[in-house]
This record gives sequence, structure tokens and C-alpha cells, in this order.
Amino acid sequence: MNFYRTGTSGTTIGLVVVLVVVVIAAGAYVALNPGGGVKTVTSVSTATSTATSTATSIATSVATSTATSIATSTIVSTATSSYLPAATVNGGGGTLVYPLMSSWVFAYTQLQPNIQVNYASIGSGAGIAQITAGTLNFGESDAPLKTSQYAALPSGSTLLTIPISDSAVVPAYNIPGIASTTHLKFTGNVLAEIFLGNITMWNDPALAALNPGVTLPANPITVIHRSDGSGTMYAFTNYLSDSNAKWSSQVGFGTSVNWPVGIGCKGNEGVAGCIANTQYSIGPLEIAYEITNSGAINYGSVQNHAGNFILANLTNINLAVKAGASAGLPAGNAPWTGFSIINNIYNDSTDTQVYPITTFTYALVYQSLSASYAGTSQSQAVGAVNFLWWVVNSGQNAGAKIGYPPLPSNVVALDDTTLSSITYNGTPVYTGS
Amino acid sequence: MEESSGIQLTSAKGIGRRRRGGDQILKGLVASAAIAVVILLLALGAELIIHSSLSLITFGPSFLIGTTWDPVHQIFGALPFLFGTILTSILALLIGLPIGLGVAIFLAEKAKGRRMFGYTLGTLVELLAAVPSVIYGLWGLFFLSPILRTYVETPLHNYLGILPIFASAPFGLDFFTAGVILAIMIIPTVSAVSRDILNAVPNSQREAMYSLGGTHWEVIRKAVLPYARSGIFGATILGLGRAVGETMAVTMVIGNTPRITASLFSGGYTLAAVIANEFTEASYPLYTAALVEIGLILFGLALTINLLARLLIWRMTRNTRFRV
Amino acid sequence: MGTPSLAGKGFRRRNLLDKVMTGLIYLAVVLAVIPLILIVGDVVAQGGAEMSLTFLTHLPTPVGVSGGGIGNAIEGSAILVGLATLIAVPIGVGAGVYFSEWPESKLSFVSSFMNDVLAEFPSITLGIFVYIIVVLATRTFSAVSGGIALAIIMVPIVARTTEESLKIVPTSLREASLALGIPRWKTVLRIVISTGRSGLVTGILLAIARATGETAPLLLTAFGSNYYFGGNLWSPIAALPLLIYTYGISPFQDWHSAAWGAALVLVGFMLLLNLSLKLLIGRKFAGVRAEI
Repeated sequence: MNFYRTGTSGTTIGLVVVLVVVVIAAGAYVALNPGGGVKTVTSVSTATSTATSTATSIATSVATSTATSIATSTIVSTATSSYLPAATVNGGGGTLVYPLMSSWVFAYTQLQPNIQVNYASIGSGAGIAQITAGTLNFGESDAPLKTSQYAALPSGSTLLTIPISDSAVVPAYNIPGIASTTHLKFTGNVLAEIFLGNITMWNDPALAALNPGVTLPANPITVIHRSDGSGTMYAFTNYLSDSNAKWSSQVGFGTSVNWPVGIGCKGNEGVAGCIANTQYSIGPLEIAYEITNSGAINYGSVQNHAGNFILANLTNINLAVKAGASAGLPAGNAPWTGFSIINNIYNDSTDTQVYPITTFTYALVYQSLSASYAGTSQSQAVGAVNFLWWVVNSGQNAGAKIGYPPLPSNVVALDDTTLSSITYNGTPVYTGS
Repeated sequence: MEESSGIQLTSAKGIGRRRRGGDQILKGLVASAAIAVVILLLALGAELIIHSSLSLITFGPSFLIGTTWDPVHQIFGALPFLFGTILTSILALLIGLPIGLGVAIFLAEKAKGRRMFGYTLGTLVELLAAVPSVIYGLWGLFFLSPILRTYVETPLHNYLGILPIFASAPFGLDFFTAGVILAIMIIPTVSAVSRDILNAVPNSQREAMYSLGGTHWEVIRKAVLPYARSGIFGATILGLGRAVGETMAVTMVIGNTPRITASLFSGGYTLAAVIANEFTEASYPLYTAALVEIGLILFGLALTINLLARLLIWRMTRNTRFRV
Repeated sequence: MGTPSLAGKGFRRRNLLDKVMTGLIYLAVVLAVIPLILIVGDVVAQGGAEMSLTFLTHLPTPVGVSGGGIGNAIEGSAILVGLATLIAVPIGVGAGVYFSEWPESKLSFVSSFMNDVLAEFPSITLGIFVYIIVVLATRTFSAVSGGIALAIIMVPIVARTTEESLKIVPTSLREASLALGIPRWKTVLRIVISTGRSGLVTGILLAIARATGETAPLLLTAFGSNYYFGGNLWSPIAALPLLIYTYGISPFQDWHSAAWGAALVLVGFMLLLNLSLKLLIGRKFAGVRAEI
């Protein structure tokens, strides 16, 4: 680069430097004002007014109904309610639960303004990897750890697996010309063949046989899947492995598999976006993303072992969770590797209305917290445990409104036991606030 | 600034000590900064090699030709990413080089008489370089990809679909879109460097050609470009180097599936994109090591290309005060 | 054979070729400028709709709740770049001074070469490096790690431009100063650097511009945050490019709008900085490279 001094250089340097300094100073000014608490209260009141006028988005109503009811009780009584000490709790993990998690965090901050829960939707695989590396206070995953992942944990540590919600994976598609009221029917076997690349056209005889009244277009199917490690994919491939021997031997199941065909998009968000942008595409999507995004995307029903084609909704997901988690739940501090609601209900023909691709989503926390894990401080441990306790006990109804059925009571009881066992430097953390 | 009165009058010994002390300190301070740079690079190289060693040992050279990337079964091979990086970079050059060169020729040859116009145009092209990669990705995802899919890829696929390069169903997020975005991103590099190269061609060359009765194009083609050949080649390689390292814009438009195929409309993956997508979720040591090894390969590729470019450009502009 | 005639078939053909090629050259220029106009136009159109004081100062809200903003991302970017500048400027300027004033030493040759190599490092691999030595070692994603990653990107730019601008200072100035008995260290600091100062400032601003637009290394270090900076540099922090990326690939419409708004802020800043630099140096410079 050549530099020449021009006549204006002095003034212009001055101007530019002033500009940069002003920007940095503005940033510093904002930084020195503890913006967090004040601004959240402002957005609550804004949200209240918008919720009454635009009831379209479900998340709005969830956030405001939980938030306002909690806010009015805590803001008035400052003397009697006890706020937990200030802490920023860092969590990261599955995208499946992200819409719900963001509502939870928003609502919890009204209850405990000093606790800032910072959750990043980085994928279940990353949630497991980062909690293993000890860089987060809690991880989140739709897939329990595999044996090799338990082996990779720091020696002597125990990682607790805490189901915090449940959800379902639906086959979402974008087919112009098929009415949104028509839901295509799929079986696990047919889905596996599509994702193996053996069924390539929408009007394939196998699909036509399942959907006799529908005119399927003569267009090639574009398969969409996740590009990152995903618990949603774990559940989906789990189901495909159960349904199709070829899939089981060729591909297997896991958070990241070697997909035979298709385009990879990042996050549930990415998959939803890709499906919405691509006509004649199909991809596995977590149901809450389906609800908040319905427009171009529609989803199909899946056949369960009783032979019924079930279109996922709160009721049948709830039934599936109850049936699949009624027994055989490991203790919180035991490995959850073999546990799978999908496997449990795969051969279940008694519960006729269960939705077959149903999964828990788990929070992952170390049992003995101390500064050696993510530099966790006492206040962070308290914040994390109390947040999770609130989520498991009080936050479940919030989930119902946006497509996440509440946990069955036996699971809540199990989680309470697990959370009570968490210690910080040897002292139990949860004191029942 | 010190008054000169003190200098001649004090003793030489006193001055020497004071001078040497200050000199020593300054030299020490700035030398330590230079040493810091050396240490930084050595540490970088060492870390990359150490943390990829598990993968280097497990797979050896077969990593470079392995076509399977399967985290479930713990089989890793880098060939799809190498393929994607090279394919998108070549596409970028095929589109970006003529345009960048055209801009450079315009600015160096045609805009001579109209300084303000040339200056403005040159500024506009350089501003392309000011747009961050993530915004190219955002724009590519929402604007360019649908446009390319509807107006370029679908017709090409429908009419020329028998050709292998147009064979797969156009999706919009594929090698082709990534190549176009990369082309736009390297235009400022190619044009800026080429313009300097062309300006470095002595006017005697042009004058000689004009005196032989050549048209302006003939002057450019027969007198200027051949003289500037190695420099322009260097500018090309420099553009290639930039394209190879691009991460964000590519990962948002390429489809993110490891695939080796002749079709431009198929989704793909590059070395940089796979690291960005999968690094935080590598949940076991071999997975992390494989990704770090990809980083090592990427670094090696970028380094080789850039060294080659500098060599070519340096040879061309040895006598001028020019530095990329 | 002989001189080409200025009339007749041969000349007409050559003339036509000349005109066609000139046309193609003009076409190339148009093709080069169109994407810039489209990108800036789209960013302004999409992002402009989002612009408001609320948007610039509020925190993000959950999907579907209005009144959210990107205030924390703007603040976070400022803090990260500020941190990176504090780290990179002493090292970069120091190294640049060394390369320029003591070019004969072996350290100068080796370090200068390594500096060039460092400049070509793809930023994602720098992210890996900082993730390993800072994030894993301190067991937390942090603003510090993000700042360090950006600083590594900035150092080669600052060092190179410092070296270039100091090398341009005539040797006669140095010699005159030394001849007056001014010690070398004062010569360098008071005379050489002050003469080359506009180049130095340009280099620093170039580096700042580059660092502001970087996304890839922040994915692995700063992690992102939904809150304002709370005073702890060892905590995750938000950043504009990170927000643009995360929101851009989401399926939520209001997040897309927020991403465009953030893009407008970022592009606006980058263009402003570039144009100011352009005024500063007067002539062309090899472009402010926003990111690799």
C-alpha cells in the first residue's frame, strides 16, 4: 500500500478519530448503565399491549401471561421476596427446545431479575461437547450421552441427565398444490426409503398407496436434514433405524450421521428455513418450529405400531411420553444411553394413539459443582439449579401453549430428586426457595 | 524535542550512556513486539499440529483422499471439503477474474482522461471489500440464491440438464451460488492489484505500440498485458487465496453436505465451512482432531497460494515501490 | 509487410474489435458495481424498516414478543473491538517500528515473514487456536477470548501498515536528526513516527474495520449473549456479526428483520470508516478487507 500525505490529512484524521472515539464512548456509556433489569421491565409492558392487539404469535401470549402474572407479584413486594444473588448462567445446546427456553428465560428473569440465563442454540452435539469440556454451566441435549461420550467426561465426575421437556419430530414438507388441511401419511419404512434416496419422486407408488385420495406431484423429492449435531436428528434416525433394517445397518442413529442424500441446514431454524424456501422438499422438524412457522411448511402423520396414522399434537405426544416413560427411567446420575421413548413405544400396540417419534429433551449438569467446572461460582450454581427447578416444576404449562407437552408427574418427581442431589463444594445447592 | 544547547556542551561519555540507555530500551520494546509475532505464529502452528495429531496418526495420508465423513462411525476423510473448496474457488475465479481484470483495465487505461469518474468507480469497487462476509451470506441467502435458482439454475437444468454440470435439481444453496458470491468478493482484490500492476507497465511499451498504429485494444492486448502477465497471474492467485479462506458467506449458501459430484447445482461443503459448523459440537477427541486437521490443511492451502502470489507479484514489481 | 493502412477492410475489422472489447470492458465495470448497489440497497431497504431508537438500545426479546433490539450486540462489538485494539496496537506498531528501523537484523527478516504468514491465516483456524488455548483453559467462553482472536487478526495489518508508512519517511530526516545529536530513540518516536502518523492511524483504522466485521472466530470464542455487558470480561458477550448470522439462518420472520437491521448498522459503520480512510489517504489503497 502506498501512503501519501494530502493537504487535508490533519483535519480528516481528527474527524475520523473523533468518530471512532464517539462510537466507543457511546458503547462504554451504555455498558456502564446496568441496562438489563430496567429494559426487561419495559419490554414486558410493551409486550402486554401488543399481546392484546395481535394474538397471532403464541409465544407472545405465553411470555406475557407468565411474565405479567409473575412480574406483578414480585415487583410490588420487594421486601418479602428474596432475590437470588446476581449471576449469569451460561447454557447451550439443542435447538429443539430453543423457542421454549427463550420464553422460560424471559419469564424467569421477571421472577429473579438478578439471574441472567444466557442460552445459546448451538445444537445438541455442541451442548454435549461443551459441557464435557466444562465451558458451560449447563448443557442441553435432545439425545442422551452415548457410552463413548460418558467415557470422555472428566474422570471422577458425574453428569446428571434431567429431562426438562418433551417434544416430537414431524416429517415436514413443502409441496405447493397440496392443501394445508391435507396431511400426507407416512410410515417409518417409507420415510427411511426417502431419506436413503431410494424413493426419489413424490408420486412414487409407495407414497401413493399410503395417500389414496391425494394427487401427488411428479416432482423429485429434495431431502433436507441437519448439518450440525442434533438431538432432533438423533430421535428421527432412532425411529428410522427401528423401522428399516437397511437404514439401521447403513447409517445408524446419532446426533450427526452420514446422510446418504440431501442438503444440510444448520439448526432446526435452518431446516425450517430451507424447507420453506425449497418447493417439493421434506425434512425432519421439531413440532414447535412447525407451529410457529406454518405457511409454506406442512407436516404429515406417521403410522404407529397400532396401525394408526397419527398427526402429532399435544395429546398424542403426551400419551407417548406417558407410555414410554412410565417405567425403566434411569436415576439422574446413571447413564441414560439405552433410554429411548421411541424404542419403548415402537412395539406398543396397546396405546393406540401414541405418536411414535417422541423424545425427551434433557438438561445436563454436573452433580458436584465447583470452580473447576466452567469456573462456576456459588451464585452461578444457585442460579442454575433454581432455574432448572422452576423449569421442571412451574415452567411446564408455558411449554404446553407452544407445542411442548408438560412432563408427566413421575418424571417431575425424578427430576426433583436429581436436582436436590447437586452440591457446590460439597454443600447441597437447592434449598427450596 | 531536546534543545540543542545541551548536546554540544555536556561530556561525550554522559551523552553516550543516556543515548544508549534510551536506545536500548526502545529497541528492546519493539524487538519484543517482533518476537511476540514470531512466538504467536509458532504457537499457532504447534497447537494445530498437536491437536490434530490424533487424527494425523489414526488416518495418515488417507485422510486427504478419504471421501467419507461419518462422525457416527468415526470415519473421517477430507476429500469432499477439499473438492468443495477448490471447486468454488475455481468458479469464483472464472467469473471474478474477467470482471476484475476488466475493471482494472478500465481504471488503468480508459479512465485516464476522466479522473473523477475513474476515482468514483474505483472507490465503488473497493467498497465491495468493505462489506463483511456474513452480510454477503445474508444477502446471498435471501436475495441472490432465489434469483439464481429461478432465473439461472432452473432454465439451465431444464434445457441443458443432460450435461453433468447441470444435472441435479436446482436448489439454490449449492456450489454455483457459493461460486458466484465468492466471485463478487474477490473482484476488489483482483482489480486493485491488477490495476497497480497495469500502472507499473512503463509507458514506453504503450507508446511503441501506438506508434506502430495499434488500436487501443491492441495496445492493451499486445503491449500491456503480456508485460504484466506474471503480475496479473499473481493477482489471480491472490484472489484464489482469499476465496479459499472465506467462511461465513460460503457456509450460508453452499448447502453444507459433504459431496463430490460434477453437478454445480448440488449442495456441497468446504474446509472452512465444516469447521464453522461442526467444531463446537465435536464431542470426542478424534472428532476434534479431525476438524483441527482440516484447519491445518486449510492453512497449508492458503499459505501456499499466497506465497506463490507474492512471488509472482514481487517479480513483476521489483523495481517499483509497491507492496500488497 | 509495411505499415498498416488507416483505411480499408483490415482497419475496419480491427477497429470493430477495439470497440467490442471496449464495450466488454465497460460491461465488466457495470457488472462489478451492480452487486454493491444491490447489496447496499437491499440492506438499506430491509434494515431501514427496523431502525428506531428502541431497536438500537433494547435487548433481544423472545420470538414473537415485540420491542426487542440489538443494543447488546452493538455494545458487545464495541467492547470486543476495543479490547482487541488495546492488545493489537502496541504489538503491531512495535513490530512495525522494528521492521522499519532495524531492517537489517535477522529477527526483522524472520518476524516480517511470519507476520505475512499470519496475515494469510484463515480466521476460522485462528478461532480454533484461541478456543484451545483460552476457552478450554479458562473453562468459559468469554469476551477476553473474543478480543484475543480479533487482536490476532489485527496485528499483521497494523504491523504491515506501520512498517510501510515509516519506511516512506525519508532517511535524510533520520540522518539530520541524528546529526543534531538527538538519540535514536527520540528520533524514532518524535520524528519518524510523527511524520508517518497518518499512515499509522490509517493502519489502525483499517484493522479496526476488519475486526468489526469478523464472525468466524467469534463463533468459537465470544459465544453470544442476550444481555448487556455485565462487567465481567470472562463472560460470553454478544456481537453484531454473530447476531446477524444466528438470526439470519433462523426461520423466524422477526429475527430476519432484526438481522437486516443489524446488517444496516454494521455496513453503515464499515462504509463510513472506509470512505473516511479514502479521504485520509487521498489516493487508492488496496481496499479495506472486511473479512476472510
